[in-house]
Amino acid sequence: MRKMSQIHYDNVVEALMEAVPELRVGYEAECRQGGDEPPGPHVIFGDVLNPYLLNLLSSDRQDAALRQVFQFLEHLANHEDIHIQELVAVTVCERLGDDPKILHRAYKYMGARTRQFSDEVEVFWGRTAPRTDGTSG
Amino acid sequence: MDENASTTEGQDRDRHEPPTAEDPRLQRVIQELFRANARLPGGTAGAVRHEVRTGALVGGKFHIRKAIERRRQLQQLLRRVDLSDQDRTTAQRLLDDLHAALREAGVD
Repeated sequence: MRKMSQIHYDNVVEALMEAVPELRVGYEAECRQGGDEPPGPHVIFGDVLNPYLLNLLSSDRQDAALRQVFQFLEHLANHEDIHIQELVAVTVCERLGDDPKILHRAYKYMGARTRQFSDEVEVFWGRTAPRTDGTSG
Repeated sequence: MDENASTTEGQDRDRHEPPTAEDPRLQRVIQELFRANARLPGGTAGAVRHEVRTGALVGGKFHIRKAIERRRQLQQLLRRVDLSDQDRTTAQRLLDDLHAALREAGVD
């Protein structure tokens, strides 16, 4: 996995491909469909990573693959660039929360910061009440 | 929460059902734009409006960049010739809604 300092918004998709090489074929297909301009990171995280992740979370096993993905997401969640954090929060965590069963399973693999983002997203969309004890997890 | 409040929330959700599309790529965009079981209506465009009007963010994070990238994707989708008339109308509505929300956020 690339070091945090080597990841920027304009190469975060490439960092994703290195961290989860299984996504490469889907990514290239998305680029071919997209036309002249390459799709933005939110599109790739949403249309390529999310279906892969939801599929893993719907399967009985896949522990290693899930740890691999969530380790990378936690890496990005701790990045200093707010736009990189937004990829984790408003594109990935948001989608996981569409299905309570999937979200519950995802909690097992989320790092602390990713879990914080997930909790914030759920409150934002009104899918859960804000916690009143000052904790986020 | 009383029973009436619960019923009103249910009606609220029904009024804000996301559109559907025949085209699998457009359908995927819709799934990414709209949140299931959300009390805040309007998907990503609604989130941008909510952020602009209330200042309420997701832990300091905005939906603006996501909206910009999805707007570009919808513009590309609309250039395709193989979309059905119905899907084209749906995509154009989604695009217009993102445009309007981004304008409200001061983004052209």
